[in-house]
Amino acid sequence: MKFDVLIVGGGVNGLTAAAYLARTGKRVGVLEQQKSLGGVCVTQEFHPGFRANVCVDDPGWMPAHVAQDLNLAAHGYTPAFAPVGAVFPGQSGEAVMLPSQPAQAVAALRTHAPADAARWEAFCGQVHRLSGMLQALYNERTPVIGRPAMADLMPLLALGRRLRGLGKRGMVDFLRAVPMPVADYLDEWFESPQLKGALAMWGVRDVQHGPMSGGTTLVYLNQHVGIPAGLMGGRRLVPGGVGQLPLALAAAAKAAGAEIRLNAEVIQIVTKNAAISGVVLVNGEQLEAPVVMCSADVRRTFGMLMEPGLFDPDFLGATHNVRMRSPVVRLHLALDGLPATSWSREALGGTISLAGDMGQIEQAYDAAKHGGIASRPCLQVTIPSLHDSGMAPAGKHVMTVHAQFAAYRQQGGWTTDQQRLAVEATLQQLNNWMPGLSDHVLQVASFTPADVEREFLVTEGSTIHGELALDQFLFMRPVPECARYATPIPGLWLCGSSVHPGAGTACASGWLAAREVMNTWKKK
Amino acid sequence: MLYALAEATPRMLKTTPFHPRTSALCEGQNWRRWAGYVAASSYDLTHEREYFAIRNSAALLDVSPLYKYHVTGPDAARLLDRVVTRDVGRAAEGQVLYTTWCDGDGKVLDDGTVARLGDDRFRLTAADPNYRWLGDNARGLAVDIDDVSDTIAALALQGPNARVILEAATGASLAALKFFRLTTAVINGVPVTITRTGYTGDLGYEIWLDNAGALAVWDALMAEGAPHGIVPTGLLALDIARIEAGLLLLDVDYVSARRALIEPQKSTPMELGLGWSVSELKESFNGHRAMRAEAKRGAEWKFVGIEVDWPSLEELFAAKGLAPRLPAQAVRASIPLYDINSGEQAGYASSTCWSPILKRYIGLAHLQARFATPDTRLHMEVTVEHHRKRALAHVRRLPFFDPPRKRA
Amino acid sequence: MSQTHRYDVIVIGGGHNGLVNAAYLARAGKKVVVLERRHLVGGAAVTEEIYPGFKFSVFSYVVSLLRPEVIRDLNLPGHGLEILPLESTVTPMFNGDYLAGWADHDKTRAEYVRHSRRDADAYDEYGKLMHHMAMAVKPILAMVPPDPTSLAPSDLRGLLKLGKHFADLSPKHFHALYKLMTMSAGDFLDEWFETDVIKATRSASGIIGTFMGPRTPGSAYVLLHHYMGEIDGAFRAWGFAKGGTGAISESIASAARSFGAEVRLEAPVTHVIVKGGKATGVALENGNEYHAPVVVTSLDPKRTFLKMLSPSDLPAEFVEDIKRYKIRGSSGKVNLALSGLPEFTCLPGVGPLHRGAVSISPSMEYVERAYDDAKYGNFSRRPYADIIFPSVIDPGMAPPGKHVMSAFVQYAPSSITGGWDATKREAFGDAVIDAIATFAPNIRDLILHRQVLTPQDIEDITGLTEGNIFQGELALHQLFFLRPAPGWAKFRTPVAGLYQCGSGTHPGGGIMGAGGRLAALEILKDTGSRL
Ligand SMILES: Cc1cc2nc3c(=O)[nH]c(=O)nc-3n(C[C@H](O)[C@H](O)[C@H](O)COP(=O)(O)OP(=O)(O)OC[C@H]3O[C@@H](n4cnc5c(N)ncnc54)[C@H](O)[C@@H]3O)c2cc1C
Repeated sequence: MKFDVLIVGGGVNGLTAAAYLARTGKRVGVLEQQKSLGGVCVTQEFHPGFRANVCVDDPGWMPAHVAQDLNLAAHGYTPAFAPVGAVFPGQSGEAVMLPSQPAQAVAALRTHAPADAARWEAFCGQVHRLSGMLQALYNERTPVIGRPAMADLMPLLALGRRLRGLGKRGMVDFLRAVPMPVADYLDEWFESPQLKGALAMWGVRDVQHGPMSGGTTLVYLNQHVGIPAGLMGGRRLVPGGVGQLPLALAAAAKAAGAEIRLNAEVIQIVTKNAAISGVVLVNGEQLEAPVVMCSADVRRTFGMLMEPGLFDPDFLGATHNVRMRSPVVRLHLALDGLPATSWSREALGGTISLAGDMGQIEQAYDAAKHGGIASRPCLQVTIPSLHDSGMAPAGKHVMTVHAQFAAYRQQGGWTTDQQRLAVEATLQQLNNWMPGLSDHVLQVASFTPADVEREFLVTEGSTIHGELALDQFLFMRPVPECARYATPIPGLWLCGSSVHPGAGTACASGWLAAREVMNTWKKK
Repeated sequence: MLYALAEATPRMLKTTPFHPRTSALCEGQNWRRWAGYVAASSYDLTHEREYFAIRNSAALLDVSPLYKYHVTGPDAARLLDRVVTRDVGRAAEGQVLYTTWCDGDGKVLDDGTVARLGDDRFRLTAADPNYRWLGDNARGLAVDIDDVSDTIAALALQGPNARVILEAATGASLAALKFFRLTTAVINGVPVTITRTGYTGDLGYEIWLDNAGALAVWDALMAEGAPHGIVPTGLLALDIARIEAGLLLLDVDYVSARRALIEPQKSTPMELGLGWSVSELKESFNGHRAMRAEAKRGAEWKFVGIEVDWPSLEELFAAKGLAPRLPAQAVRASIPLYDINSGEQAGYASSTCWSPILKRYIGLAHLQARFATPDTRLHMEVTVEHHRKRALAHVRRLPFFDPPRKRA
Repeated sequence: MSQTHRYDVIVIGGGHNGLVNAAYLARAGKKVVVLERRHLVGGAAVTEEIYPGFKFSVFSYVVSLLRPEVIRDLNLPGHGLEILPLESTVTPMFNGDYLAGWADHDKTRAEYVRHSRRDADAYDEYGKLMHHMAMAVKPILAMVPPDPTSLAPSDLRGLLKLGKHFADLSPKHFHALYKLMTMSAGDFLDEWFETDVIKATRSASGIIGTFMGPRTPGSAYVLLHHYMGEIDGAFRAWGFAKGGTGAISESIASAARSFGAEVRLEAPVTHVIVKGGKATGVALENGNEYHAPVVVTSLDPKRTFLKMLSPSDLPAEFVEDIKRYKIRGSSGKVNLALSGLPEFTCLPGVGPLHRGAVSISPSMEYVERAYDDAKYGNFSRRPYADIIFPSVIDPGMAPPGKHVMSAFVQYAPSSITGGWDATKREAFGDAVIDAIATFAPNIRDLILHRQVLTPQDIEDITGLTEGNIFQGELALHQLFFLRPAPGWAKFRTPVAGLYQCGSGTHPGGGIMGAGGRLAALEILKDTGSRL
């Protein structure tokens, strides 16, 4: 069968690319190995009547026009921001809430840490400005390639600075903050160990780094791209679960004429005369297309889907060196109810940070750094059923726990013992926070990095397709030779989270990649 | 005890398995380093007799320091085809290929030979270490790479009498062994592989064996060779022979792209006169895009022979009241070559020597393409009594010396 | 009776940077005085006879970063500077084996082959890359950092120059440089080597003087910082100054005096005198005042701006920036007087390894765990150490037949829980001896005297805040135009007439002399004088 474009992977980026390309009238096919769409942005039933956001709690920021262009609301994607951002236990276990209204957050902090309350608004302002700078960078393909020079980068930053109305000092703050350890960054603002611990979790989310690692402030800022000022640790709530996004994208793509195939695992991307000619499916079927866009992660793409002889070994080596190493274990609990707790429903509706202080997070990271599992993992807990009754049967609840740190590379691999260890340590932490919770658990579904790798075919379970770090950012993401979506093979494009901006954003890589492809058509 | 693992006094340099013999013969203790080994520069106090053995009787050279790799397994040919420029998949069993290999930009990393020992067994020889490079190229392939540099010994037996000596030592006829083919044999009870290859441009063979048999093989060859004028030969004599034969040397005539510090130091196969070794049939291999583009465009540099005009040299020396004086050894220094009209630099000679057999002052040179046509007249820099002068020189086709016996 | 003295320039602190600064200014005809608190010059680069007959390079112990232009401009060899080569690095391993890097390439390659053929090949290419990287960064070391956020013409010119410099790099090199600036030493080395002990030993130069582990992003830059000396042609690699590192300072002081500078010892400055927003001089502990239109501080930024000036003399934002400047001390030093040379079980006897460095970095995990201890406020139970035997290279350092040993140790956090005291100091010293004795058991029997220096001791003796050897961490957010504070990286300060020239300025720590020199050039520019 002949297509104009084949897209490997039906995650949000693949589907976004499909929708945009199909709108040009080309014949576009999407090939998804799973029986459902969405890749890691998926909501699944894990116990009769209980649905969970399997890998991610929030689809992430997307360029504003994508929702309009593809009419996503009409197709069922209607996100709203949670009214409460981070919530964490104070000195005596009480809930300290950080609602989006700064005045309320300040009031909440005043009893917990008066000095910090005074700095709260200024902090939120700076985070908003600096993450806004990132957002400006994320709306465009990455600068600087081919002629890589500081001289090119600086005007771009200057452009960003103008765009965001950052003053000279704001620019300094940005350049200074981005490489910093989030621990140092937060130390500059706050005193409360609990507050700093709770916030620091966003600086290490999905990466195998502790808060004392340089570059974690970048991760922190990245997490807050597109989040309203003041909503620290805030997330988007999606009625129906995060899996609504790929469904809406798929509907848009189909409406534009794209063909979508499920259970269609691509095992090889094939070339003829060193240019793309199509793909081979696991059942042996061959599909032809002069353009293949691959949304699989970079290591999978070049390490498993392509004939290595086509590439310069240095290039292959570089793609192989991209750090993936997800340190996350996710648990989904089906609960027959919530135990009695002093925490309000409003507090439970936030993103609950059970991390202790930054030292404890660092210690949990140490375990993974040395190839093990944290005995006291740091948790971020959400209860989606509080916002969306469709997630669980009436009166019952779903609790999702995002736990760090557990090394992907366990000495001896991820065995069932290892998995049990990780799950028990996590449940223990949960129970410490909410005694009696275990009595309400009907079912636990757990996903280790190895599970995510196996099920979603992402290397080392990295839902962000490559650690977010300064050396895997912008024109370095995933490797300089494909940072602008094109690859050394004519006709092969990357369009997944491995490429700028990727890493926790939605649709942006897919859209920017599609735009590059469309530009080549225009030129012809 | 555990710490027996380490040597009490770390050894300085490696010696080859022939060292007990070669060290006894090396009268001037004239050694140089070669790939981390000590190797004899010459055994006699001068290398003249050794040179003439190469051309007139037979020379025996210890070439064990070469890097050697065994590449085996179902994808062995595929790996080598990814790496080298020649067509390994199409080589017959028993065939040996001289080849270069390049980085992704088509710049030469190294040159050496690939011997097809069996259907999926190859031996690659190299001037530089290539273990990591082979490994990097083997991603996704079912192949074993074994560095046998320190476990396989090698001798070169070169010169018009090489065949008779080797036939006597092996008790087998080598008449059927063609140029760049290999066979197996037994010498003094030691199984060996014999390739009809060498680095002298003469009739010659190279003999490959496990280290353990080294002395037995050396002794047998020396004994059988005695009536035929065999001479243990060092690297100084070899250097002259290889210049006469137009064979280039890594680090002297070109810089490996791996080690070049700036782009202009790198070369393509075409620039080294090795365009012929770049397969036109293989679909993809390292650097093929760049090499094919260059083939269309034409190379900017050419690798040619250069011969200094003797009368012009005599004249320069005569002006100082001297007869021409040339170094006895091959010169491994870069010497500028100039356009005879404009005086602009046309290129440089990277190896030069007085050829004792041709009685000419010759060299290997890199020239910008427009100066590289045979018989082009150029100027070459010569130092006469502390003064820099320019002598007339002519571009020549390589090799300078190519006796029919080499292939016959 | 307090006295006053008038000069063109007062330099606070007679560390090597202060001395370099003074020498350049004196050479340009300025009347310069250097005021040094201690009884000898050198700061962190001193040689002292701590025990009779035994001379120690008390703090810094090896040299490679010293700028060749400083050596030439000040004719330091003419003033006694002589640098002897350190030949090797040997890392003893737990299994009784060792890893060595020798002066000779073939020998080192053979040694790497013993551990991994692949790594032996990688070693050559890695060396070439680092050479290129050092070449790429070198011009930056000799340049006043332009401010990328500024639109002033001089900054734009500087940026353009810098931009041009980077544009001349090949893409491959630019990307590699970018990686070095941002990655952890461990991750960076993972891309090159497979042998743990090779990575451990190489990554050790990525942690020296910083509060980072080999797996902390940012440590790869420190690796490069320590590679810089290898390309200048002045020294190929690390060397040892004859007479100890104090001899370097002495030679600079001698050069400065030869140009007419005065060096006053035991002259501790208490504060900078500021009048009408201008520095006009300094006051000493004994009440004496020195006056000059130019005052240069070589002390670390915290000491200068938070202790020698009143906050009212400085913009509030600048004070905040200096408070935020990270200067965590992470290193200690153990200096031993020995009755003989210790025997390492991996290479028994006395041999070539004693002529070079011995690195206690047997594995990545070992070094990383040493860091883990420090993160939580303890000294490393099993510390990393870089050891040399100066008396083997320069017999004058110890009585005949006897030896001195210098061990630079990490980690010893300045912010140790509960603060440093004598008990902790000795416990730290014991941990260091234990770590060394693991590989050289007879060392215990050879110790005649032991000097243990904690970060607290380093601070008390040299005045380096928190004992940080670089006057502030070499972290990306504290380098270049951000060192020591945004907007104040050009050796000037918010106080007119007050300049800074210590390691807390660009390009940072180590015995380099770069800060001292660059600051002198800027001062001469401002005062309209010529070199
Ligand atoms: C233990 C240790 C080991 C090191 N090892 C090495 C190494 O091997 N190689 C290397 O290159 N670098 C090494 N370093 C780093 C290097 O020594 C320093 O970065 C460098 O010497 C700093 O020089 P400086 O002139 O900038 O500052 P300093 O040397 O700190 O000079 C400041 C001077 O000011 C004086 N001072 C302080 N307060 C006052 C006051 N109130 N009034 C007057 N004077 C005052 C001090 O006494 C001192 O002399 C090491 C440092 C330490 C501490």
